[in-house]
Amino acid sequence: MYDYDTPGDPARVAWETEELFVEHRESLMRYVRYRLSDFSMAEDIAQECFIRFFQARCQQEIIEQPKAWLFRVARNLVIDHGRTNKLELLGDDEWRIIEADLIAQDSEADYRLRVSSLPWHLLTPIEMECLRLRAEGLKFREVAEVLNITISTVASYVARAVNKLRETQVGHARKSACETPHYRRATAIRDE
Amino acid sequence: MRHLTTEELLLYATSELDDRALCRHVRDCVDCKAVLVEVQETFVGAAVAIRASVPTEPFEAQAASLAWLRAHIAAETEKIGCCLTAGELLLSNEAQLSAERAVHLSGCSRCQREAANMRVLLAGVEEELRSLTADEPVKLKAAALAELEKRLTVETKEAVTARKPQTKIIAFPVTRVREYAAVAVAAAAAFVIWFGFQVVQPPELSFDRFMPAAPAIAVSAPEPVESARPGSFPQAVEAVESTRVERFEFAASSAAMPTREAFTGTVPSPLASGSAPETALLPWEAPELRAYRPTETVSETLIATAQSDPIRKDATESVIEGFWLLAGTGLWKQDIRPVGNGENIIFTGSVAEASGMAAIESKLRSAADGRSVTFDLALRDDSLGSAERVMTFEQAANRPAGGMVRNSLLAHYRDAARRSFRSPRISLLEAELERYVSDVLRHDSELLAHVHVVHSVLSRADAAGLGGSSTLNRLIKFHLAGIANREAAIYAKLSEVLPRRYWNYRAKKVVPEGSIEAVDESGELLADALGLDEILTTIFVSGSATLDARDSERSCGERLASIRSHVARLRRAIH
Repeated sequence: MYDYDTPGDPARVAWETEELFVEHRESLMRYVRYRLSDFSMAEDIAQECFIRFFQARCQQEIIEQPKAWLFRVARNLVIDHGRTNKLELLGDDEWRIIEADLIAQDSEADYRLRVSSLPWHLLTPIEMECLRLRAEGLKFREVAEVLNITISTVASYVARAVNKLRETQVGHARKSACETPHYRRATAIRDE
Repeated sequence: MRHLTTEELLLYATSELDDRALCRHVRDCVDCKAVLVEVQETFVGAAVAIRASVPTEPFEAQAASLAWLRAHIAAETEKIGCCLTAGELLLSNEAQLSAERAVHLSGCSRCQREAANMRVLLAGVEEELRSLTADEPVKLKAAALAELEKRLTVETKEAVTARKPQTKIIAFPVTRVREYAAVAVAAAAAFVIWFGFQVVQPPELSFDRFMPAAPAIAVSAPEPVESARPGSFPQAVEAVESTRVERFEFAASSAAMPTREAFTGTVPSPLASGSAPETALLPWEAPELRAYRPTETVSETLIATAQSDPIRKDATESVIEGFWLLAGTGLWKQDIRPVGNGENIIFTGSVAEASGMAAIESKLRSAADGRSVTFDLALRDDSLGSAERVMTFEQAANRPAGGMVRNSLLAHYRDAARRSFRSPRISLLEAELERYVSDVLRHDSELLAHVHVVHSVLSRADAAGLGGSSTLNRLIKFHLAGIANREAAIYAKLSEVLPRRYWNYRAKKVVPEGSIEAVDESGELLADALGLDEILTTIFVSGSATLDARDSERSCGERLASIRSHVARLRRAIH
């Protein structure tokens, strides 16, 4: 664990940045790509986050939660990019179509089916955002730092999203169970 | 105890639930555990779906990305070593620059130039603001301030444009300058109101309280002077500083650390630098005055002379005449001493070069004005001085930085450099420090030389039963004036920089009363001069890494005060 509170020389900060890059680059890249259709732009933004981290640390800025800091910078960069370029920021509906396409292309169908059956449309954007960040491994405290809201609010949003998904899953499971031959047979016996 | 909500269960799953009672409940409650498992299953499923919705990149892309990052970090690292922005230049002016940027500033001449320009610009701003008097209309002040802001903004934008993020910092100087301007206006107003533009001089720098109000020497012409021209005799009180050198004007390389040779009289004579007497540099014209301290050879000669010949009145008169000739020709600091036998004056001693010997003989013969003068001068061995002494001074030259006195001096010169808008480079500060030490020790050497002459002459005159002859009085007055000047110069130098505890912590007020015996006074004067020399050597040239003047028996201030007292008494005794 690094002591991010103490200022370091550029060589040490470069080493820290590289370690952060190896550890968090994939999740950060994924998070940016949720919002941007342009892959190269997403790549640029993800890398810009690490460069900014390096600059901030060289200027002896105190960063208590590096991961949250990176995600927050990435989020702000994406928003700035959207504002300046009138970017084709994807809405949640568009993303669902793309996700469905991606899932359809995948051969591993088991969890893909589960994904496709999840009711994403029931989630509000902020719930989806919280769930995405949480899915990328950020703790509630870090998500709160990224979105600049309280930890209880984050927990509330995630809980709501999970409950919506859970209820749907339970209903889906019941529906699936009703369609099995055993269930049909059992109901037929009961009806008789 | 109630069951936990989904929200609390999610927090519990990430160990972020603060309520310890609820945590204990989850551990014991089967229902909560079951719900927790369900919630976690749902969340994990959603998370997997979310993460899987974006295809992972191939390894090559990740490797390429890492290479890109490394290249950019290297470029950023170089930028850190890049030139300072305008904001950083202002920060450097207040010594608030970060350590890395300060390192860059210390090594980059361009940034130093820009920082100097910035300081000059700010000084101009402050000067103009000071010129705004307190009773000036507010509108005028506001207009002037706006104009200065505009000018500063333009000049700042034209300043360094090396770093990419500096566009965000550009607005900063104007804000800072507003603060500067406000402070300067307030300071100027306060200055006008409360002090009325009167110059406040620190009491330490005023020498009038211990210097004689007027030259106490009432002597007939020709009067003694150190800076007399060849052929003429001393006129008045000697000049303490022959040429004034501005501060921070020379680099460290040109300012060598004072060496032992500079204070022992074992250096080549300044007269030796010219082949002909008329082109030779006299000591008071030389860039660095070399003072006399009796070398072992001369001391032995004098002692032998004194022991072999009983002191006679006429011989003593010849000696005094010889000293007077040496004072008149400015050669009294040289390693030459007169030995009289009543008939003629014998100058004995040593010189560094043969050409210098010829010049000295020529000068003294012309000054003797027909009197019989003989010479017993020898060429001096430059390696004179014990190996131990040389080693001590080598150690002093290689003394590690960080002594209290040294740090104090460096801090003083750093502040002085900032006040005079000079770059407080360490080389310049070191050069100033070395020049300061050299000056103090030069004054000390010359003080010691004056005192030595006074003491030796008075002792000999007393032993010979010689009364107060006119030549003796003139000679003693000349050297007393020199002592007073050197003492004042040392006092000025010490009070200029050193904290008082290093030199004046034990000084007492000296009351120059009591019985006056010239020989005793001169003996005590010599003891004080030697004590002062010891303390100054300890402070400035000692080989010890940690120095403290309090280790000495008496402080510099006490010695200087005592010297002042003895000089005053001797003056009264001479009269």
